[in-house]
Amino acid sequence: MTSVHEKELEADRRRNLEDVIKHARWEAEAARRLGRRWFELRDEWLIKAHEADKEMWEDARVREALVKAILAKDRVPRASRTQYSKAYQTTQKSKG
Amino acid sequence: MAKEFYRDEGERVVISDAIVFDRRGGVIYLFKPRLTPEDVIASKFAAVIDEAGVRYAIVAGYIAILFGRARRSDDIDFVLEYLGEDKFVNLCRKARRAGFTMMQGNIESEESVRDVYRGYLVRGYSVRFMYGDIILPNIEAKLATTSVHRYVIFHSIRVVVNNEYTLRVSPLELQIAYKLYLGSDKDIGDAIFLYTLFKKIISLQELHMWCGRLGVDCGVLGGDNW
Repeated sequence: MTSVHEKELEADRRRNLEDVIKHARWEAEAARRLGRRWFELRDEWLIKAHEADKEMWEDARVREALVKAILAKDRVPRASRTQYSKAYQTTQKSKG
Repeated sequence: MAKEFYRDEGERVVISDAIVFDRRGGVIYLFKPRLTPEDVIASKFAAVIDEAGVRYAIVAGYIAILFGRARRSDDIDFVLEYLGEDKFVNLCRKARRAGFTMMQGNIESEESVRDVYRGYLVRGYSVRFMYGDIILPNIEAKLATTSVHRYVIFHSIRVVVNNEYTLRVSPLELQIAYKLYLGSDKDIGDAIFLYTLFKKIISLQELHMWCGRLGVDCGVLGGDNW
C-alpha cells in the first residue's frame, strides 16, 4: 500500500474514533440528565431487538450455526490493543 | 423512593434519578422501569453463583449496558474465583435448576460437566451458559487466573437493582482503564461512557494507577485533571 493510502485510512480511522468518543460522551450526558426516562427508551429498543433475534433462532439450523460460530470464536485469541494505540496516538498527534 | 434519596448528602452521591452511589458501603443503587433480557439473565446467574458460595465479578461490556449505554452485547462476562471441579459441578447443578444449559456440554450429565471443566475452564477458556432458549446474550464464565482478575473479584462493587437483586461488578476505574487497553471503538466508547457518567465518584488516583499498570494513556477520557 502506498503511503498516500495509509494516510487516508489513518485520517478516516481518526475521524471515526473521534465520532465514537463524541457519541459516547453525549450518551452518558443523556443517561445522566434523563435518568429513568433514558432507561425506558433504551430498554424498549433492547427488548424489541431481542424479540427479533428470538424469531430468528426458532429455526433449528440457525440455532446450531450460531452456537457453532460462538464456540469457534472462543478459540480465537482476542484482538490486540494495537488498533487503539495506533488510532489514539494519531489523534493525539493531530491535536498537538 | 423518597425524594430525599435523590439529594447529594454526606456519603450519598446522586448521578441521576436512576443511579445513586453510597460511598459508605461502596454500593450503587440502580432504578429502572423494567428489566431487559440482559438484566434478567445476569441476575439469574448471579443468584446461582451466590447460592453456590462462589465469589465473582461481572466485567466488560455489560457494565456499561447496565448503566445505560445504548448498545447490545452477545455475552455477559463473569469472572469466578478459582474453584475446584466438584464445586463447579455443584454450581452447574444449581444453574440447571435455575434454567440454564451449557453450550460446550450437557449440563444434565455430571460426566459432561466434568469434561467441560477439564477441557475448558482449567485451560483458561470460558464456559458459556444459555438461559432457556436464549442464545444471545449468554453468560461467558471464566476462572480468575490473573492478578487483575483476582483484584476485580476482591474489590468488586455491589449494584443493587430496583431493590430486588444485587450484582457484583468490577471497580469502575479498572474497568475504564481495561476498556482503553482493549482498544476497539466499542471498548473506547464504553470507557468514555462510564467515565463521563461516573465522573463524580471515580477516583482519579486509582484510574491513573490502572492506566499506568496497563500502559494506556487516559487522556482520551477528556477529564479536567489530566
